[in-house]
Amino acid sequence: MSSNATAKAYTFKVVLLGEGCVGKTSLVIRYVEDKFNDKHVSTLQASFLSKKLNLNGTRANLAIWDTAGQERFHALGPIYYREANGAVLVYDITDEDSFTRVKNWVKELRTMLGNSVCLCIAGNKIDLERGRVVPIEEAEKYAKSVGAKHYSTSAKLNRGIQDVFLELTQRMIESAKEKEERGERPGSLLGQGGRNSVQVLSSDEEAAAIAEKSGCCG
Amino acid sequence: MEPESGKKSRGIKVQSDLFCKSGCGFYGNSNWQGYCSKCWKDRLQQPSKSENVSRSPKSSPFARHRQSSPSGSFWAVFSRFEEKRSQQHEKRTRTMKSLFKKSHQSPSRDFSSVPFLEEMLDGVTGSSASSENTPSSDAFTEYLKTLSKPIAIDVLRHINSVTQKMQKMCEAGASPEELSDTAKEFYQSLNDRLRNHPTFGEATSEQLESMMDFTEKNVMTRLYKSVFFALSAQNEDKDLEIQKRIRSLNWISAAHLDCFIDELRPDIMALIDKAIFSAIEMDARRAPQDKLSCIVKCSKNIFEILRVSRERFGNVEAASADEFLPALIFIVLRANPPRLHSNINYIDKFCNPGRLLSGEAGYYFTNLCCAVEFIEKMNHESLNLTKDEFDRFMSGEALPPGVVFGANLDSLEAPWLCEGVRIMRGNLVTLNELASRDTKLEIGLDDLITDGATFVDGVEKMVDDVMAGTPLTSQPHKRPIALDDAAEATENLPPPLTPQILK
Ligand SMILES: Nc1nc2c(ncn2[C@@H]2O[C@H](COP(=O)(O)OP(=O)(O)O)[C@@H](O)[C@H]2O)c(=O)[nH]1
Ligand SMILES: [Mg+2]
Repeated sequence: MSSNATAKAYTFKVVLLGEGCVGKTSLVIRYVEDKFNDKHVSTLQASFLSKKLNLNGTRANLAIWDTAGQERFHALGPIYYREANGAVLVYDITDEDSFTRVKNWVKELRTMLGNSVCLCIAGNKIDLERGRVVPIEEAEKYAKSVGAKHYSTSAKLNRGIQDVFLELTQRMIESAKEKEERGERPGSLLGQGGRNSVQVLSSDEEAAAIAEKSGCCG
Repeated sequence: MEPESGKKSRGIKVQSDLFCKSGCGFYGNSNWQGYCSKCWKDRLQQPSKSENVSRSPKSSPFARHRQSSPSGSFWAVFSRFEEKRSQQHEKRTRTMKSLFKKSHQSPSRDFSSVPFLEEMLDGVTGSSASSENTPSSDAFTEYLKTLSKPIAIDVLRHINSVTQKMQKMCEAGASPEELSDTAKEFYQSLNDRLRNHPTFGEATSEQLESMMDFTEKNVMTRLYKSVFFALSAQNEDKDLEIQKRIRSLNWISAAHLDCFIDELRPDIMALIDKAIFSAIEMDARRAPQDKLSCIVKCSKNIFEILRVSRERFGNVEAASADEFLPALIFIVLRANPPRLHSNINYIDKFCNPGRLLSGEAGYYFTNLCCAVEFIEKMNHESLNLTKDEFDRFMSGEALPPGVVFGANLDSLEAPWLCEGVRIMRGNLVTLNELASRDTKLEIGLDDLITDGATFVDGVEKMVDDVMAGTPLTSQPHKRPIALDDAAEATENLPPPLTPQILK
């Protein structure tokens, strides 16, 4: 992966957020393994999955983090999405509450991570269109108002899922490139941590100098 | 022994030898150097006692945890110990520097000899590493030998410089945050250098990765004592607090967390024990990535527990975060890993940030942080209990009914039994299984015997039937009839009919 030899690959952390039972796990298994409620899912676990993408020559590694959706774990959100590059917010179109929950998450994410996080909202289970209670216009309007893209998906029928992750990756790459131009480090804790001084020792003198400096300021 | 007095009778004299040396009137004991137990203890508590000082430095940071509040004398002893240690460090640092100078002043810059590398390494590993971490140093030396010399020298130079620097910071009492910044800056700059500097131009990305790994491991293993000490001092209160908290939550069963783990099944018990072991092992590892890999091991075991548990209910879906997090919380509650906050903090502060950001290990680590946060904050609502119930369980006033998922709701089934009883239960389960197999075998055997008898009877009956249906009658032998022999019968015929016999 040395920058002088091969083109660099970005690594992005993507968190899946959504109430329990909206289909987060189904969605990601469909995306990574193209399976639904299948006995032959080859992964031992479906909580951390990764996917390699190549978007017009730019390589990206998605690390997709499933989160526990139970009510009792809601307060843990910030620990999960710390340093996330992107988030997929999932709701069930037949469940009004799950959409409200998504709105709360968006607020939280924007407060905690600002605009550095790319958001996609997925209205899942469109195969159950008859039971829809969240009007699509409302959902799309909302998504637009918070700078997120809205997708209608069905893990069961494999609809719209590729698009969610493609769009998200594209935006994350753009965001990372912008950051690079601004001289920040994408995908590094240092980049956001503020302290960003980089030391490369090129001679013994420098090494000694640094060792000495620390001696007096520490 | 003889001198003292002739006044006393022999018996009394022997007894007087047995009295406590301090003359308090109680009996002494040779184990306590002739003092009675009380006087011996009093003497031990006098801080001036030299044995006491020499013993303290050996005590690990654990010793501090055993004391609920550090006593004054302890700190006095401790600061003396620190002083001594820093003096030793200085001495070693000096020798290390001289080693450095020597090696770089050598005009030819001859890297060809491996012993040179080892010498350079020894110089530094000696500075903070005790004999405990020689294995890692050895592995590191072996690793360096696989690199080309210019690369090995370059990497080693960086390692030495940052180790020295951080060691000095520790001695100067730098905060863990400052140390962490230094470490992370170092990882970042080394990473940049590995990827951009011409010296490493030909290395593959895997080689660079492993170089980063080895570097991180070596630096942090060498600095472990100083760095972890600073951290655990800072986190001592929180460490103790969570330990107490987990202890008071010992009544929680998997069912409270809606976690489908059958704690009483022997095979699952064994897996639970494995996961617990890994969780506890974390405290014993030094390098951040080694601690991390304990968390990974623990998590993999949890997924195995979940798989085996769910299989029985015909659920073969891969476990997701919804199942994993409660199970991890359950394991942390059962394990009560030592110095949990210090360890988490250490990994967070001194691990190569890239590892935590998006890798699988980072995911499990984040879940562990979530589990700890949950354990600290949880209340009756998190467990779907009433406030009253929760408070009573917490105070130990009452125990929840022994609800164990999948087990009989027999009120005596308690999952929080002690280890011995747990093992006994496991054995009972195995014995029961064996007994039922034995019964099955016996029934099978009986069946087989009956089957055998029926078979013999059946065959005999069939034979009899066949015999009865086809009675045995012997028929006279049929003899071949020779045409000419029949001639006799024709001999008595009247002449015109007498056949002419041709010979
Ligand atoms: N009809 C329908 N059911 C779905 C869809 N996606 C998920 N489900 C079902 O919804 C339930 C919950 O799914 P799961 O992936 O476990 O949700 P999670 O709790 O958000 O991870 C499961 O029974 C799935 O089979 C979908 O697109 N259509
Ligand atoms: Mg799920």
